[in-house]
Amino acid sequence: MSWISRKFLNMPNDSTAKAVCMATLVGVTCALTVSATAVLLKPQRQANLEAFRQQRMDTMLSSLPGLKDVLQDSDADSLQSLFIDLNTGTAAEPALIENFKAQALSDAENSAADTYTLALDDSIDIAGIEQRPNLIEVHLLQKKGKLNLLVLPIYGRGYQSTIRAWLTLSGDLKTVVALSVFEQAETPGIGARITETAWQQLWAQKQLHNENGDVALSVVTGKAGNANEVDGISGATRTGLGINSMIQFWLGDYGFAPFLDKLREGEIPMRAS
Amino acid sequence: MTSWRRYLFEPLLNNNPITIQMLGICSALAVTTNLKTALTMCIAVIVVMTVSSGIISAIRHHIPSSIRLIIQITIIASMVIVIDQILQAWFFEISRVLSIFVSLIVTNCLVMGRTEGFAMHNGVVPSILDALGNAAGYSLILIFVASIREILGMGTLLGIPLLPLAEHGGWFEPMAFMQKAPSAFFIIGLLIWGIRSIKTEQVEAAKITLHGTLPMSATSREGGS
Repeated sequence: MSWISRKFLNMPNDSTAKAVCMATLVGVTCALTVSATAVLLKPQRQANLEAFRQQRMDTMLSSLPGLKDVLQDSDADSLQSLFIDLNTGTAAEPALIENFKAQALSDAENSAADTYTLALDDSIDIAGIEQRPNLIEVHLLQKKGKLNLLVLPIYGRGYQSTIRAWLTLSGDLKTVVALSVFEQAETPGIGARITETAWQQLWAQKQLHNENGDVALSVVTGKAGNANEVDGISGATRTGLGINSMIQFWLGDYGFAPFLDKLREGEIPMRAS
Repeated sequence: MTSWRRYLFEPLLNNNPITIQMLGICSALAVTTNLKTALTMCIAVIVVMTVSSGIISAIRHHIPSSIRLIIQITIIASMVIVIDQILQAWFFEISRVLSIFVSLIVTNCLVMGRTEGFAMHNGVVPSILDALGNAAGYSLILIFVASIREILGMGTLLGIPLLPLAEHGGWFEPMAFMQKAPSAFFIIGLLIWGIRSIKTEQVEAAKITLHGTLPMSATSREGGS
């Protein structure tokens, strides 16, 4: 061993063999150091990210029009978070949630992953997310035992980044209260304008469905023509299309449709206040 | 012993990386809106520079000159990623502001400048001292600029209110300009002017002559700039 290393170190510096060996040695050492740090610190980073998203969520909710009044109302319950099983549309079992959380914090790529995620075929995967978790956390605000607001997380591929947003529906599950984009890296000044309050305010009071009962909420190029349409941002057509695909996917059969059906039928029990 | 001290203290004022070598200006503009981000950036640069200079100096006899730059970059970049990960794990709030600049330490001419210009030809201890000295010189300017920008731009220092703000009934109206990047140019420019007025040996000879004026070195010799 020491003979090899001495021979290697004694090689002339300008020889190709030495250059290749040095490059490999430095490359492998650096790769190992970086990977080790990344893997060791992942749980901590993940927890920070979760806390950050939660904080954004709280800020978003408190800025929603009308929510302050609702919260100040003495009859209103506080916000309830609920893990739902997207396949069945029902509230998930507590044990399953624990496993899901533990698994999300450990390695997302391991073999048990398919218990918790659904790989999406290209034909289904209109939002460009490749796989979808089976459990997802939604937020409900209720008043006198009736659903007042429902906050759904949606995400998908925009023009050049993954866009994450909260879609808030009113208690009738037909009217949009707000769309709040909280994570994106679209083109600054163009696609990134989806984070502007002025644009997000356009979503209030829009209707989810058209006369046929299909999900028709969408961003259009130019001016909105009816209650389903939201003005597009000029130059950001692909970002708008990305948002449309997200809405179609997440309100479709592989998204929240089963859950929304159960809610309409009153099969989701509201927590007693 | 004196030469060791020289490695460490020379870059603080006499051969400061920002005011003399003009290295690392871009990050000096970006992270100096307040003192807290500037301090974090300083610590990150000090750690990255010292460790990578030490490593590169230790293996300098075995770095083939044909691939020396790429080896230096690989080592510096790895250090930067490790630091960035540590920030994201334990200093999350700061990392949200700084992550992009921390990643850019890789391209900070100062770090590469010192590994290529010094660590490749000197022993481990002098290299580490030189890296420490240069990083400290860089930090000194960053802290100076950031303090001015935070006090004049927000009326605070490290987030602690220092000047009574007009909106709270005080007399101080924050200068919004101080929070914009160009203000750092002005502060650094004034700083260089100030330093060179005192230490006239730092004044460089004029490279160009403007039409109808005396060469700049001549004016500065006459009027002391």
